Amino acid sequence: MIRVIRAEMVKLTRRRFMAYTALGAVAFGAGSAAISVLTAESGAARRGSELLSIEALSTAGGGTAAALGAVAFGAVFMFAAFIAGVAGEFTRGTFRTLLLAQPSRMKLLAGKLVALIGLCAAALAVAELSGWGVARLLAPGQGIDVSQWGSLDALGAAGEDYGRLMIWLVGWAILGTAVGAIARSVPVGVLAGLVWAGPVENVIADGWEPAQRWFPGLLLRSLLSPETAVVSTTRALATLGCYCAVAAGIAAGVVQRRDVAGA
Amino acid sequence: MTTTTSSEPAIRLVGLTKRYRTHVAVDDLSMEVPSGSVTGFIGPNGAGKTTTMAMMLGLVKPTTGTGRVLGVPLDEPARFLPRVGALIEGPALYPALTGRENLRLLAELGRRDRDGIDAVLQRVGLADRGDDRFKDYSLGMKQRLGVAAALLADPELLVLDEPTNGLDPAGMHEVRRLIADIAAEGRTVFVSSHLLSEIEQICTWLVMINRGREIYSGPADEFIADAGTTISIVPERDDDTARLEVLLREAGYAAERTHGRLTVTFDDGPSRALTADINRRAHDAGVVIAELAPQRTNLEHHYLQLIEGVAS
Repeated sequence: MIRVIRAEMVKLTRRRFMAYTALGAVAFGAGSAAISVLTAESGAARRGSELLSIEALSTAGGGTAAALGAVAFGAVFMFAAFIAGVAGEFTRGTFRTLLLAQPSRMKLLAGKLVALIGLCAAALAVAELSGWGVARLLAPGQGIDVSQWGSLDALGAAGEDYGRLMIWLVGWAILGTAVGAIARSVPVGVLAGLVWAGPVENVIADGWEPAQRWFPGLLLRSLLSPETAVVSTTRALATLGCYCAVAAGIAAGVVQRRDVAGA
Repeated sequence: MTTTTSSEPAIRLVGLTKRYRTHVAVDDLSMEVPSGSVTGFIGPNGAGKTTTMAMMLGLVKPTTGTGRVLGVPLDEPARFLPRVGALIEGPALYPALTGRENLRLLAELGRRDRDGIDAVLQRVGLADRGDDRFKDYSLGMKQRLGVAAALLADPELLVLDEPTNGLDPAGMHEVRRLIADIAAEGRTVFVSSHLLSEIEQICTWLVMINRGREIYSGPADEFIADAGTTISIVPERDDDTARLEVLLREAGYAAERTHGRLTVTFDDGPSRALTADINRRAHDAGVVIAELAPQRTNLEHHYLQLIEGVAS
């Protein structure tokens, strides 16, 4: 699998691609943090909402939480990226070419997933750092106390936030890979994924409260805002673990069994 | 070019069948490709060539049937693919990557020597375009990069699916020359085409299929001989043409006069003795021959006859 990851890195570490990715991550992190800080209001945060209170942002972890809360809105892009990353290999026919050099379909799929997760993890770290910086600049103007943001506790909180972000990322990555492998078409896969993770989950959740406890997209979102989530982190992780295991199993089965060429 | 046949064929397929619901793409196909040969895999569009090749390479699972590639069972592609280079269904590479980056990616994946990239780019004539993006390549350049990718593995067996597809005559010539060069190194080349005339010049062995079934398998020169050959004869004096026609007909030759030229057709191809006999008879009759040239004009016709024979 190491060879597959190294091969993927040839694509992902191109200078221009990395520059665009970094630029996007900085813009997204900074934008997310700015939205969090500028929309923060005094008082307790509403359950099920990503909006943070001024009190929550004034704690040690407020700096990174500012970026983290709004990153959840980027889930659809992350989901779409993984769907397109896998489905595109089939649409272009490159999966066939890769298989001729590396006949293990499982290694190919897993290596690709790990490499893409690595890239996204790096991009999210950049986004969190840039978000912290922007939040630090804007917070005083909103009456947010930033005196604890540079403390050791803040570092610990940042670590925990990043850990949650990684679980969130891996969850979307596995679900996106499964959709991409099943659809084998970028437009079909991305459309189906986005319709489900975007309007469908949220519209249903508006009228049916248990959706927050059962729908994978909403559960993943709850990981990033545990203080306002309607489901505990432990329960969310357990349910998501089941979803990811099923998704990974289906993706593996589909890729292993289906023909890759010919008609 | 001679056919080198070892005891173990490079490819052996036995009763291979691929069925897609009601459509049978490959139907109980059995064939062999001798080691060291340049085998042309010929069939009309939709005959099942690509599906057969995909099954050979582990990309498509046969419905039934077995086979071996380089002595390894078909269902263990991980054991034979490192020794095989293939271009199937056209060159599928990353459009945003340069030619060199695409090859580097495949070299990493297949644990190939990255130093070999320049050599294969040179070989396919893309040394000076290796840093251009794949999407900016012409169709011919894309095909050549696909061949370069197949050559990265330094393969014992090279499988090329319609490598001249979409190319202009110059591009076709280039690809044919490249295949001939590769074959001269002793590698086995298995190349498909829907046009016999495109590749017959470089093939030592032919496998022809139609509707998923084999219709011919054997040495290329045998097929060419079976196709029948003609000799074109032009006497020095025009009024000798009719006289020579009568003379040769009386001697039992299938001679026919067209536009001041005499054509003699042989079912099994002209041997040196028969050609000499014609020349001697003409000389004895006082006819001076200005031109006497063997021609292979019936090849495509013979191929079409085979296809039509199966179809009917």
